[in-house]
Amino acid sequence: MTDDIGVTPAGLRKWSPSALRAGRAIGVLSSIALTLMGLLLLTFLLARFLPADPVYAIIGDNADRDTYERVYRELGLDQPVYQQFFTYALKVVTGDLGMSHITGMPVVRDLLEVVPATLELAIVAIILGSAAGIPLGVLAGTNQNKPIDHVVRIIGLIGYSTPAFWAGMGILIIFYAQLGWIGGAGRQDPYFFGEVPTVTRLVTVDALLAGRVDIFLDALRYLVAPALILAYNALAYISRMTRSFMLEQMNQEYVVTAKAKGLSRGKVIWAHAFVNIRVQLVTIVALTFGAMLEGAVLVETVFAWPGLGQYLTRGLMFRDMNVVLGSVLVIGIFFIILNMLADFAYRQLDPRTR
Amino acid sequence: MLRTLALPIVAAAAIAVVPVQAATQPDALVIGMVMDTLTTFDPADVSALEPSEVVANFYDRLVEIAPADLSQVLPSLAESWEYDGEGRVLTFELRSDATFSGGDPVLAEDVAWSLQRVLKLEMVAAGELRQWGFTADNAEQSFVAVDEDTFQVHLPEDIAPELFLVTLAGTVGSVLDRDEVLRHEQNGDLGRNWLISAAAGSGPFTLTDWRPNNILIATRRDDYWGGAPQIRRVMLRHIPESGSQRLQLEAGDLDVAKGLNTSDLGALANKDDFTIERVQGFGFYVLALNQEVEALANPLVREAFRHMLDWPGLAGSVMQFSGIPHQNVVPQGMVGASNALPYDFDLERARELLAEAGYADGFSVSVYPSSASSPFMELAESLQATAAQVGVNVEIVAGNNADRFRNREDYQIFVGRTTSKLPDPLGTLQTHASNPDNSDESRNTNLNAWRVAWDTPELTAMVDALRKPLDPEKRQQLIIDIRELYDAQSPAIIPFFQRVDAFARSANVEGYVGSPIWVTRWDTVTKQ
Repeated sequence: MTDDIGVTPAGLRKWSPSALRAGRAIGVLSSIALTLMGLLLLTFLLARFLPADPVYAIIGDNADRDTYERVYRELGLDQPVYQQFFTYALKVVTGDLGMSHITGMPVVRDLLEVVPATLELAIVAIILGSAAGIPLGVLAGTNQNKPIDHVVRIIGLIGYSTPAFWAGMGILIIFYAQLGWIGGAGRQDPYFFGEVPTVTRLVTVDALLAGRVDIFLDALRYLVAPALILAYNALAYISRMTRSFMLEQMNQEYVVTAKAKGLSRGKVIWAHAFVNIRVQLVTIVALTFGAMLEGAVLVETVFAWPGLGQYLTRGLMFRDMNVVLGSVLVIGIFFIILNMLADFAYRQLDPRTR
Repeated sequence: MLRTLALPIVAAAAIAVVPVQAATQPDALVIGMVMDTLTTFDPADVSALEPSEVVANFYDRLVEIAPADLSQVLPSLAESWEYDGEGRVLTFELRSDATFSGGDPVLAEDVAWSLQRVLKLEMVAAGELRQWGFTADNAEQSFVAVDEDTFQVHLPEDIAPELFLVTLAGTVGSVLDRDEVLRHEQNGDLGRNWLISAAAGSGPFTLTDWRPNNILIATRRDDYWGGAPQIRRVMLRHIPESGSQRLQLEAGDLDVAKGLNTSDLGALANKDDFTIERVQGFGFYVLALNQEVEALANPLVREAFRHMLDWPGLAGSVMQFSGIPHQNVVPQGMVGASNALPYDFDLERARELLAEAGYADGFSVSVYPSSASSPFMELAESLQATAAQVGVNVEIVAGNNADRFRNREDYQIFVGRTTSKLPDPLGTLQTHASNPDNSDESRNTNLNAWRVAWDTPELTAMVDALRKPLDPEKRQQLIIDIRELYDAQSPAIIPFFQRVDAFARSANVEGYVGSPIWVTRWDTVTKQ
């Protein structure tokens, strides 16, 4: 018996399916490792060529020469660049991303704080953005040039062009300062800080796990505004892309045929046209989610949300290269995971890719 | 449809009906700030404003400086002190009722070890001791525990002992619990790594929780030797955006906002519920003219720049809460200071001086604001506008340029802010007027005169003499002489505003008094 993949030219050895699977897994892992190492190398080199001195960011303005030289050596900057990278890469392999001088903590420990904060925000935002954006896009795409299409496009345009910073301040002024409906800055009321055990580092989930509904509701009040702003931005992009995918499908012959067969409009749209854009939508949603991880910095700044975007930006501002490299690595890993999930979804949604 | 909407509607209603925290609790103090520089609680490694305030509340020092009167040194851990006949030995008698947060008494050996540790670690604060001749090598001979309650300092150089005394009032003089810190020592680091997330002092507050760039919670010590503070809990919140801080303060979720920009401070200044505090610092906003640029090395050109600065306009706008107009190198409020503002914004005079210097047709020069943030960009833009009127073409190079100011080859004119924490004129005079070795190789990057390549042998000698013990009247005259000579030489570092750190507080918060040496305490705070 020969499976599809096992068919090889005559004379070459045939591999068993399990060996092939193992080979594929090794190939995928090697490819991931190479991608991450390439990402690290590129970021490392870019960081080293920046005309900024990380030593002064640590020692302040008035430190004397002795202090400068000690910190310079401590950071390993007296070593050749290739050696600095080699030392760093070796540490990364062992799970040590170095110390951050903007927090004084190991970067790994910082990431364990900031990544869940951003994930909590981004997960809620992507669910809301997709739940609203996809139906709106379908609605617009199936009603081209009708009033509803224009309304959806305007909604998208506003969401796409409204500066997150401006929107954030506006929401804070109305819903926090005037109405008192939402929380101001941070992830929760400071009086609740440390009240529930840290399990997942997602404040809402930890509150529920501890059975503290009051803390859960409080966390929701802080989460709702930044999540809605990110969600609206995601909605704008997702609805626009969905509309364009649907327009393409609605002009295909199979849709005309389905209509001619007398199928209901709903069935034509959802059971035929929409089914065929699911793969593309998975890509769009995955990319939007990935972009939120490092692109939410303005929202995080306005709402003082201690997330990954803010952490990475501060790392860049204060020339904390361990923070920059660690954050880039995490974002890279997330993109790889998202790609893998998208690939998996493709295979489930489209039999041709299996 | 209704079923689909039911969950979000119920959730929104639940969020809306749960009451929002309307005001901070009466026994809690909530401070909004930018916590970027708060990275450790180790006094040996602290140099910036925000961490200094935090450290000042976890640790005590031997003496304090009265914020309202810089010349007044007050007892703290030391009940009394005296100098020997020659002024080279200071003997401190410690109070006997002070204890560390762990319960152990504060002993002279803790004091000696804490100061020795600063020098041995060679961290940022070490420079504050090294300037008086202390080194890692002489640390143990210099800081000596005579007995449990008696501590001595042996000055290695012939300096005025008062200068060292006021140095001890800063965070560098913080006293650590030696045994507790050493219990957490790793690889001979003298507890440095542990103190990144812990504190071991005798101050009125202890560290309860800290998440970098998020939140810090401190709890009062009921057994504090100075009496339990009224405030039970202090919470510092990292809020990087000024507008967000202002909204939080107005909503009652903050008691003090320390990261407000001019526009937000201005808006709050007009409201009865808030008070704007201006803490005068010992640094200046300066125009630093690189003397390796030919045109700028001409004293007449330097003098012309003094008249190009539209300080009256800036004082009423961007500098309203950031500085007070000031044109000499001795900070206001100190001995030998002068509040005179002799350099008018006078473009006609600037034009005459440029013509006299041979630059009647002007020249082109690049200006590097310290950062792209306020007020540095506005200061650079103001100079660009006024200089253009006298023919000087200023190109602004925006960006984070603070590093450039340490490398002479990297800038032409720098617009930035200088700092000194020493509550004595010597602090600013050392960093602005003194330059013992102007060679590129010396790399005295902590001296601003070196940074601008301004060779000042006469001023350097005079500043050096100021370190020595002097009769108070002679000392005052020497300070005045240095200040006047500095002006007469058309300085390459032109001060035009004295630094002010402004913050807003709710009117119901009393006793939060900003310290000019950055050791603002929370135990004096009360809330109505």
